[in-house]
Amino acid sequence: MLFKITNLEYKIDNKRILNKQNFTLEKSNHLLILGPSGCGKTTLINLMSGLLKPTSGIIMFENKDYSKLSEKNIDKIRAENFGFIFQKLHLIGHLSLVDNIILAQKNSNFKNVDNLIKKLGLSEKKNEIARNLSFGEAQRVAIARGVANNPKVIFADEPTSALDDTNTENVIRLIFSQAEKTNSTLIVCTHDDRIKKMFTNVMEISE
Amino acid sequence: MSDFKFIFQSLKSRWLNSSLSIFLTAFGVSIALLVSQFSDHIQNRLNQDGKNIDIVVGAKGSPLQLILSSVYHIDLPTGNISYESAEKYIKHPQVKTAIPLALGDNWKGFRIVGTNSDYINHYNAKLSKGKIWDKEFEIVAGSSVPININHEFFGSHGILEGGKTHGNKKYRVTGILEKTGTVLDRLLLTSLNSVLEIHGLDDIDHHHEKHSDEEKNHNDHHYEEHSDKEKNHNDHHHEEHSDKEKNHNEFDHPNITALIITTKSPIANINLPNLINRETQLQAANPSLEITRLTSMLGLGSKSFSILSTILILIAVLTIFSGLASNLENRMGDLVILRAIGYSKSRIFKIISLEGMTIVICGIVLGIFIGILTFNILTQVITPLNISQVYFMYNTNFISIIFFVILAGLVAAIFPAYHASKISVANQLSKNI
Repeated sequence: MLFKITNLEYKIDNKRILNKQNFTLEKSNHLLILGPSGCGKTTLINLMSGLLKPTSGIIMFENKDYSKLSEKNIDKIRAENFGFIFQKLHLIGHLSLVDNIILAQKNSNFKNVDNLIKKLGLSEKKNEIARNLSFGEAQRVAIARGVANNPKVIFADEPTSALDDTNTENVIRLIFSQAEKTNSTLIVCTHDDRIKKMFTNVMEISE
Repeated sequence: MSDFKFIFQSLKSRWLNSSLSIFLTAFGVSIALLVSQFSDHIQNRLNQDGKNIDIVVGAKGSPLQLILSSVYHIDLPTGNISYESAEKYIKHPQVKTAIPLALGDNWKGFRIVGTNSDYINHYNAKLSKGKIWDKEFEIVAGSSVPININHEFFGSHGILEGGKTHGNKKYRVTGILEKTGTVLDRLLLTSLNSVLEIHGLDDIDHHHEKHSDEEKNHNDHHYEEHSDKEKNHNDHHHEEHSDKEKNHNEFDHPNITALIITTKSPIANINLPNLINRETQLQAANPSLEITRLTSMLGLGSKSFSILSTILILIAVLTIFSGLASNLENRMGDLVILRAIGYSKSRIFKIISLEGMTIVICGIVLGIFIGILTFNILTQVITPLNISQVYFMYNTNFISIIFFVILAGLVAAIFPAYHASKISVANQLSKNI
């Protein structure tokens, strides 16, 4: 079992941000978390990735209970097991395309990174700084950064919300193909119904 | 990606701000180093040159001027005193050593000092070449004087270069002194009589002979008078004596510039100057007293520079602080990504601190380089410093300045680094998302 979530709840100043959640997730069983804006989707993946501490409930990743781990160990789990793809990409503007991809790697395997860049069709822009890339190129770099570490889990937060239908399909296909190559489990949260059909494991959250 | 590469890329991306901080730190460091180096050098020279000199006796005038001209050889003498009047103190029971100095001439700006071998011994100087003077117009050169043994030259009148040349007598270099790190290094030393003779004065030995002849004649005559005119003895004796005194040409009397005295006891350092100043036409000055006064005056100047360099360093530190802090706001998104992909808080703290410290270290290295370069240029351009052979010292003050700047830089870097390490990743991500 990859994740086991029990009675997970998150509140800020007694205001409930995320209602109680209970679910389990097996390896390679890609999950789509679907729900309207403000229902707590992002909060849920932040909790699952250890970026937030829950108000109550238990998060187990590979049988490790987050509540029993130090912040440093949670950082380590995140660095070794998780990849992130954000809606707004969050590339570091002054770093080159390659540097953005290898950011998470202490000992960069340049051969693998080169292959990844080649597969994403970014070879010519390899040394271009991120702020000079087009949105499409930057999006591919963000995906490459999310998968470059061969993570066990890839969290994608609203990866398609600003895209048209064609690009939405292209991006999701790209994320799926990269996840398959790295044998990662995808956890995508979105309010975008268009991608629902691409997932078999869908969890809908209501407000 | 290594943290050092990340830091370098980050500094490079805001090169204008980084360069400004580096230059401000460098200017602060270089000014602080220059002030400290020159202050240390002055203090060292004052201590070395004035070592074991308790009293300086010279002509009436400014006591500080007397000390500066006779001990440190950096000012004009207050005037001359007759050797006869000084001689009393050479033989004074409270005086351990008394070294006469006769100044007034130079060679290419290097002062020619008429004295005796005690002056060389006072500074424990040794000859590196040749021998000390045997006779008049033989000269021994200090280690910094650009002259070779057996070289002959005419002295020029005055303390500074460019005076009228004494064309009648040539000096010949018979010895070169080893480096002493004292005023001796930049002097030309000769016998007292050489200086007196070149200025047309009686030499000391001649004066003594003349004086004892006069005494003898005076006594013989006195005895004749005494036997012939026993009754008028006292009155006549006084008339004869005063006539002799008048006939003697006072302008031929040997004059010296100063007498450097080491006393036998600390109490004599107080009593003897009081006695000399009260009862004679001479002036006695206490070097330690005058130098304390001088350094307190110089201290005001160096204090102003110290304050200026401290302000510059503080401005540099504030620039580093504001550069890191203001940039942090723009970089929050970047730092959040680093945290999200697994960078620990301590690693973020380390990265931001090292960014600040990189600026500080670059500023210090550049500051030391500018400081040494400016120091060397100034010591070449300013003649007294050039002659004094000033060199850059890596002493405790140097280490203190560097330590202070590193500490200040660390403080400037730590606060933004702490703030950056404490960011809430989820909150920041939701803001950006």
